[in-house]
Amino acid sequence: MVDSKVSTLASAGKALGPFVPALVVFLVAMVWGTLASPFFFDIPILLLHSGRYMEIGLLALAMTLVIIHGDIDLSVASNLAFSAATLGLVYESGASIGAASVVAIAVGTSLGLVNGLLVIVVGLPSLVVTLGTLALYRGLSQIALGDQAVTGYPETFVGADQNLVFGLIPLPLTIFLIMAALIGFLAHRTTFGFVSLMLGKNQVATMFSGMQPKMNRLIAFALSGTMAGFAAVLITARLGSTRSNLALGFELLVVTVVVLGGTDIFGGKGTIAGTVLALFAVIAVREALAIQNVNGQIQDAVIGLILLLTIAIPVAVSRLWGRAKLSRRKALLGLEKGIKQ
Amino acid sequence: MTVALTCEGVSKWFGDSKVLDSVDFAVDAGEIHALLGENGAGKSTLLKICSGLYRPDSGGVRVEGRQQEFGSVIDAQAAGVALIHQEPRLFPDLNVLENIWIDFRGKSRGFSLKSVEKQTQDYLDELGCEVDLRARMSDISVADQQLIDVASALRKDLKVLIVDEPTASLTPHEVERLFAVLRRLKKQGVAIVFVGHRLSEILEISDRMTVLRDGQVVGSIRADKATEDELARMMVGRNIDVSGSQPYVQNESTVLKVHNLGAAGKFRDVSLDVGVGEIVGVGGLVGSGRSELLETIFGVRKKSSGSVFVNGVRIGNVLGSIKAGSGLVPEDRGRHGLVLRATLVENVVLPSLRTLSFFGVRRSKKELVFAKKIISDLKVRTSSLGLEAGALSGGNQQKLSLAKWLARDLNLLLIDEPTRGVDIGSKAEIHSLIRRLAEQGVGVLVVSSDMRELLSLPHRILVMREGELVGSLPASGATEEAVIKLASGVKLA
Amino acid sequence: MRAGIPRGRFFAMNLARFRDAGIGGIVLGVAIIFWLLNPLFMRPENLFAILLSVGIIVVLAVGQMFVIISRQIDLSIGSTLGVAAMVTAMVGRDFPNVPTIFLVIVAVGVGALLGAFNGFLVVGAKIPAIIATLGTLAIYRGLVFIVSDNIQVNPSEIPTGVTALARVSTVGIPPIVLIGVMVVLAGWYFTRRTMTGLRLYAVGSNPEAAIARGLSPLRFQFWVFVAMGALAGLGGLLYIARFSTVNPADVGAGFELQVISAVVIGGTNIFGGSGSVVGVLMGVFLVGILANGLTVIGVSGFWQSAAYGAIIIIAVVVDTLVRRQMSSGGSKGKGKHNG
Repeated sequence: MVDSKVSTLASAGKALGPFVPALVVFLVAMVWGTLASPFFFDIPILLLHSGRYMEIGLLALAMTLVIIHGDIDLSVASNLAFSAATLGLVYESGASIGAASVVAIAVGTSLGLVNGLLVIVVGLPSLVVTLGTLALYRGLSQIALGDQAVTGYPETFVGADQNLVFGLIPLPLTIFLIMAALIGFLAHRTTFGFVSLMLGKNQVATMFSGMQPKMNRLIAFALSGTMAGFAAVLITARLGSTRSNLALGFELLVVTVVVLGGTDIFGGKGTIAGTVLALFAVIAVREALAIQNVNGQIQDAVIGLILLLTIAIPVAVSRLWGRAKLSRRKALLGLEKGIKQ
Repeated sequence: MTVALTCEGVSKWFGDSKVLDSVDFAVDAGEIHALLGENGAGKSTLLKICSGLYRPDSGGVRVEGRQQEFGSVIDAQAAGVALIHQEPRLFPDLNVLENIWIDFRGKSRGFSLKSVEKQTQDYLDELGCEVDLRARMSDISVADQQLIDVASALRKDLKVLIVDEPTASLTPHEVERLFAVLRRLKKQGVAIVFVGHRLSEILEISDRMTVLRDGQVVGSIRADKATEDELARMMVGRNIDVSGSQPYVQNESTVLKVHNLGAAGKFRDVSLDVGVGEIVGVGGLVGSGRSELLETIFGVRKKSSGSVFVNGVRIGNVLGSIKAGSGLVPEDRGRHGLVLRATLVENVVLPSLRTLSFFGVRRSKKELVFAKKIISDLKVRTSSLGLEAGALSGGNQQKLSLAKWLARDLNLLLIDEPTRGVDIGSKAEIHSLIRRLAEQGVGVLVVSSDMRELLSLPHRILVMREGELVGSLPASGATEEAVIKLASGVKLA
Repeated sequence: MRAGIPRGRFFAMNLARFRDAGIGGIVLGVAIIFWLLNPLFMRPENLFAILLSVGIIVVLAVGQMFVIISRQIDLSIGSTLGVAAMVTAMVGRDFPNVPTIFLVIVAVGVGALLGAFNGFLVVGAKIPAIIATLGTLAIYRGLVFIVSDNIQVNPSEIPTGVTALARVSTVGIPPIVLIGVMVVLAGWYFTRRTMTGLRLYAVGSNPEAAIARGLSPLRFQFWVFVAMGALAGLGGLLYIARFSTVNPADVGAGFELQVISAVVIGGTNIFGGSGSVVGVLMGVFLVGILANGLTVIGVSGFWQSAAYGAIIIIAVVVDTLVRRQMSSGGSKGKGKHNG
């Protein structure tokens, strides 16, 4: 009787479980920020500031899919930088901003495909490969732009991130939410997404049921690049200039958002909703720190700490839980055996 | 004769099944004692207990009369008991010398690999092993790896050497070399426990043999008093009632045609047919290539030669198999047959995604209805459909593994060990499921190590040995003895 | 084993030796190319600068080699170096009469502590090394900031005992280089002449077999991080000696890529289990010469990042393909090649 109540609670807990860390971080950050400063809890301002993080959000959406497969892509920020450099150079050479943006997205997708081909076709570990492309793509953007910055973007383009859709929601946030809906649909309502999750849980068994992992994983890497391309467009509109040091250090934030959102770093589990929630949690943390004028390096350190705690705490909890269950099972087994003998 | 190793009243449970039942077993110093039994008789569990990998639930192990409590393999090694695997545990990046001495525990002062080089070379020479001490482990053949494993064991004061199916991947010349080594060790007073299945080999090398069946000791017999027939009979026991099978009405059309199929290193030149509504069983010992045969027919394993036709359509890969109406229930349901971390519904719909979706978009209601139906049809007992597959009992997991194929329009079902680790009730249910399928016209190819099952379920029995198809028997009139003899290479009278 | 081995196998078997020689050749070749493009490259002052940077990187690279052999990776070495450098510089500034040897102990100690924390995260909290060190990369960088209160340490504040490390001493060779040589020798001795060093390779080569033979992979995994941290700390001290300015914003930034490139070029297998100090030294020379040479011939430093990335990818591709070639013709065959 008591057991069944516990089990319903347990299954409810299991369903909500992945979202708890992000929720906790979000609430703690919001409370802390409000306590720290009367200017903090201003929803329109917070929403406007959130525009800064939407590039990270886009990258995190695709990264969720990559990690669900059991892979990882550390090169996303460098991909963004090179795609943005391409955007700038193409625009400078006379193309329209629209055409330049399309090129940027195409370039981003191609770079993502390169990652995918190296990992899947050549069979290299995604960790090291994307570490290499992290350097390579960043280097290419440095070579392309050198010391220079591309400026002179059209007035309608620069600062478009300040526009409000329906007078309420900032444009970048809208774009992000639309993308989240699309990718969420892909991940949770299509066979592609379903196979991705199954591949991440057990690649061999999924192959025994006739699914080929190669195409799925390749698409995930390509999508990661596509999002980098979109993010390149967004960041250019926001900053109004393109340099080779764009998006430096974004990798940490992207991985943290994905992991905080409940996606298992080893693959097989993850939700887009969790990633979205975790993005807002990270935004809340950054804003709460920013309003107290905390230095950027320290902000990153706090994010790093959150990343580690997100993984370490469930491990510790499950080990304590497992120890409790094990001793309970041992006791029961001892009783049974005694009866059997 | 001093007794080197004794097992007294050793019992072991795995979950609900008793794998070893009060086993008494003793090996003298300087004796080669073989341990025989069918698959699942409990041999490898007994070996694991003797070598410290498992702990017995009751009873104990003595080495030279002294009671032992092995907490780990290291404890057993310290007591002088070493186990040689078929695939030795090695460090591929290190060389031979380093591999042998890596766990040296003595005084490190004055010790260097150079100082023990001569001694090691002597060990290897004694064993007839001609490898270069400086060669990388990954370049050494399996046969030499085994000998190097033995050399590592010799390094520590070896009292009992346990060899587990050592001849499986050796050429006849290498087998002779291994036997020469074992005889040399025997002369030095080492007690040797030898587990194998080639009865002729066993008779050649052993002094004494103990037969296990269903976790119990059937008997011990001296080699000079034993014959292969006698051993086969001991392993098998009484004949069992085979009245379960219906006679097969020969049908003109065949569902499955296999021509000269081979897979590198696992089996070669296998040709067989399965008719519409026919259940064909495949018997054989571990390592005979049965599982690999099913995997190759289905397409998950690459074939090196031959061809597979299902209903006249040539099959090239898994997708083609599934399209042609085939399904494979693999032997390892935990790792290959099911995605344990996924729910029941997710597992069941996996092969059928295409039919259940609308241009790639999932239709959860349709999936749910699909899954619900087959799960209740097969009587998979679960408290909720949203449960993870890993939470089910063995029998229900096996039914789930079947469910995902049975829910489709099947023409051919390939099953590997349909009732391993399954309770009696589910066992009977699965058997009647398979019979019903056959009555509906599905062709079934079933691999089984369970003699009762192999003789009662199929219409016809094929036997494989060491990668070859060595015999075909109609089920009626077939005996366990006949199957065992074919499987172990004993000449039929 | 001797006669009748197919050429591919023979090459693969002796790969390590070929490889070291090959990289050595490439280093020489690249140096000559740079010299031809700009004779200034071979001037003593320039070679001196190369040696100084090689001295620092090799200290880090030996540590990273240990980490990679054990099947892990450490992305936080730059930040660890930064913290150690900052703390040591501050101690040197605030207590100018402290003997240099004490500063050495401080640097190494701080580094070891940070390394131990990495080890704890990986072994104790079971966080995969890549994620753990991604996190500590950021956390330690924040630590630099907190510890220094965002105040940089200026050249005039560095004790002369430390700056002397970068100058040509009575021996004729700057102490930085000597320290680098000592680390290389110690690393060589450890990996080739001690049982513990051999066991590190074993643990990385086959962790399950290691457990079966009574070794503890977890213990090794922990201590390599401590060693890496200690070496990063030492690198921090050398950094102060070389650059004199310790700026909280960028101290130690960017070392990770150079070091990992050097280790990977040097033949250390990214999957663990093998790697040689000699190879790593060659890799460090190549990286050092590339970085220096490109600047000398007037190519902007912008090419460096791309070069490192390309190097890492090429090295891993080659390693993977060779490994595949070796295992396909290897011991799984039925008694084909005896020994």
